[in-house]
Amino acid sequence: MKTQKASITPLQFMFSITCFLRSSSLLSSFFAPISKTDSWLVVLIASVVCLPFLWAFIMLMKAFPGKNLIEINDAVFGRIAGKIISAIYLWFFLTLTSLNLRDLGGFVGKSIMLKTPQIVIITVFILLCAWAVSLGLDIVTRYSVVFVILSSIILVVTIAATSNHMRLSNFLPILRQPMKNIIQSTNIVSTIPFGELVIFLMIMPQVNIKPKKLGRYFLPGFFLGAFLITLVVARDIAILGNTITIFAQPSFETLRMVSFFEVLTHMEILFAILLIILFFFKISLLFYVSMLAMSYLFRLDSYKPLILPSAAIIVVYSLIIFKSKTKHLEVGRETAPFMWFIFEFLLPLLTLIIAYIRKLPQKEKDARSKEAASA
Amino acid sequence: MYTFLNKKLRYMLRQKEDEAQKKQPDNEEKLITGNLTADLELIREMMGTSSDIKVHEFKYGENSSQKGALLFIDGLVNNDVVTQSILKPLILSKSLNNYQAGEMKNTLDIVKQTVIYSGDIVERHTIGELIEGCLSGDTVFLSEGFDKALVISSKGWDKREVSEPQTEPVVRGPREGFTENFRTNTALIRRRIKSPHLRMDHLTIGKKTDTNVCVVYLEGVANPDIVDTVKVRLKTISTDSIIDSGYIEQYIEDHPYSIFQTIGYSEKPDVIASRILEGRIAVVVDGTPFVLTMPMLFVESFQTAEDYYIKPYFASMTRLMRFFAFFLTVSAPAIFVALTTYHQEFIPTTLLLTIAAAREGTPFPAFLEALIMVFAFEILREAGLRLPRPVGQAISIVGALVMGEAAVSAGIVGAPMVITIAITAVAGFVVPDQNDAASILRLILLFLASVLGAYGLVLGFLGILIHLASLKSFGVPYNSSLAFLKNMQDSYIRMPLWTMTKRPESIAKGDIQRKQYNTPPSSEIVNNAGSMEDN
Repeated sequence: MKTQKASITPLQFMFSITCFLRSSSLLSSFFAPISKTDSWLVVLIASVVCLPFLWAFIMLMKAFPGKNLIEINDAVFGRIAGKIISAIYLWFFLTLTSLNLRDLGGFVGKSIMLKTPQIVIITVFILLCAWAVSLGLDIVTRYSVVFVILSSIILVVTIAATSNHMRLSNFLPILRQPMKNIIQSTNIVSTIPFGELVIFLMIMPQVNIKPKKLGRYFLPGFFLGAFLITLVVARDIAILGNTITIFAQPSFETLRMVSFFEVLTHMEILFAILLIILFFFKISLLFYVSMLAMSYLFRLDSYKPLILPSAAIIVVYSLIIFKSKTKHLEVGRETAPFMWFIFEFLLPLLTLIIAYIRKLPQKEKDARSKEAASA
Repeated sequence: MYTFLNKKLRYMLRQKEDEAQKKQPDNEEKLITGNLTADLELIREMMGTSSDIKVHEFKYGENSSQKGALLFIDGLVNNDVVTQSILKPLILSKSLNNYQAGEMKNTLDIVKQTVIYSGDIVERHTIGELIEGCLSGDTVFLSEGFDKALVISSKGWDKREVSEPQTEPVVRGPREGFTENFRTNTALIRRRIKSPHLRMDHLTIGKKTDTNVCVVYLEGVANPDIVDTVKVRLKTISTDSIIDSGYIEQYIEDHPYSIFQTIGYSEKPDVIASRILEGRIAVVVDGTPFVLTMPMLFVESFQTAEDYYIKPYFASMTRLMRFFAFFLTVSAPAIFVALTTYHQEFIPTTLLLTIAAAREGTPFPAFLEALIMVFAFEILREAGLRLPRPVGQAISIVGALVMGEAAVSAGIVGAPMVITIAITAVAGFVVPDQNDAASILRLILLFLASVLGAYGLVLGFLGILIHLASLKSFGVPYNSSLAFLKNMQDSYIRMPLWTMTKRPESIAKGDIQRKQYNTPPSSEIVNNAGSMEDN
């Protein structure tokens, strides 16, 4: 198929994972109110809890090199069941894109463009993403390294600049929250940023990398991303303490504290710009993955004709998906972690188990060796 | 579907044109007859009665029995060469006397081998070739009774001396610049790279101008695929005139619709030589001091020759500063408009008061004000560029006074806007290569910022980044080193020369190693050197 021609380097792949996670660190409002000052610990716990599932992703990638998630579904579940599962995945990808777009629209509308209607903000943004997507995966992931470095520099600078506001006592006592809250919070963290890495199963065939070396790039990328999220959350807790629970965008509030030489105040615009850039990366990657999934599902040669119609659908979807911000937060805290759990962990695990029972990767190998022998 | 039809239609039209061209009678293919008067008549017919074409008929050989003619263009040839090395030996030569009339068949060979003092003599058979030689400054020797002629190199026209280039001045480094003369330029390159692997492949492009074009590269270092691509693209140029290397650039670039240029150029032999050594391919075009290099990377616009001649610290600092200057020149008016129109709360309070005070009483909104000033600046720049130099200075003084002082005191624009535009203008000259693109981007960003504020500005920058990422120059990603993918020793900063062990990986292929080890310069002291101090 034509759509799989582009290839990205392992380094781009690794930093795409980091950048993808880093762009989710701004959504700490989902779990921060639940685990409060233990949130930074929750991120660390979640990154460890996720490891078996990441291992499942990597095993799937290794078992089916050169195949993306839709093709794997076809191969493992058969044509009909595979197509149904793929269709559900497509819905999942589109929903993720719309949700992130809505987050962006909400944030921009509340922070820097107060009087601009949401639909303008969202439409302009999705058009930009559509342009990037139409140019291919290489373009979408090209700047992952730059974005990670940029956001890390801003992170370090803001930590240094706000160090006078930090109270280490804000962290104490550690693990004060009830066990139930910690577990719920861990569930949210592991599904909302970490589990979303399932989308990398879609672009795997386009990564110019040997299957054996996959873990060497996937895991460092993941840990770097998790580390950055931890730093962000810890910084916000150290500054805001228990008040972190009342803000929709804790990082935004934190950056309000930054002032250089008492002249350059209001550094939150830096945060807003960074957030827009990171969201651009995340949404265009998600958009690209949705388009790829759609073109594979319907067996199209190219996903390009789908881009603009899908962009229109995504805009409308993101506008009508929730009635209000509170509903959004509620779903983000209570419903999504369980629903996403199916797509991100149960299905990949199931795929792996069925593939193992049907001895699928071996069959593939046999077929390939037979082909090689006949050739 | 539409594109398909379009292509088909174009193809059909082109076929018709080709056929029409084939039907034209071709005088140039005619062979030399051997009848001197008839041949000269034919040549006169084809070249008209231009006053600079000289036909000199004379007699030579034994008892001046043989009729001959020299054909050259006055001004293109070196008159000394024509009279001293061609005409004089022909008429005075004794070697021709020794042959009998029966051996006259060989006369032309004898003339070629023993009579004329020249290192470059070619035999030609068609009239067209003679005229071509004549037009490029050679002298044609025709002789009665022979169906061939000699084309003797005698080029020698007035040319500019090698001098310091106007566009890329340096404080430290060679001051030579290319000239308009083709051979001088290739020699300047050859003199810097004395490697036998330096290749100079010659082409002529342009049906009417017949411009000499030379593809220069280092074999074994340049990527052979890119070399072939360059040659194929050059060969497919079908135009009747190439006046400057800019013509070639526009005919062979990858992205004709992009505002960024994807082919580099320079006027300095040292720059071209170092780019050839990095594996790039240079195209020297006759008649212009600007030599093209390809593939081009976006960072190239931010590198100067001097970066490599001075210590790396300052070079790196200036390079980072150039990036910042480019950012400023593209976005300073837009940032100002976005901040003053949408995000006043992000301006430090004291500054905000100053700006508000300065803007009080100015009639236009910030966007219009910025637009007026940007256009005024572009007009001034253009005027300063085109006017004769003495007048140009007067214009810039008037411009500066009117724009700076009078406009502010008359209350047409605010002082902060004048400062912003001044910074924009000055920063633009730091990166001259991308100045054209920057002027356009500045307007786009200004518009976006006025409509969507900081949000529009960020989106605009992301758009520029996407566009840059999508560009390729001869198959090489345009911004690969900006995106931290490759060639990092020499992009945002310049590492010390001894750390650059490899040529740029995305460009060079084959002999990629510049030097073997990444070792600092040795700090060894020979014993004598130490003892010198004691004495």
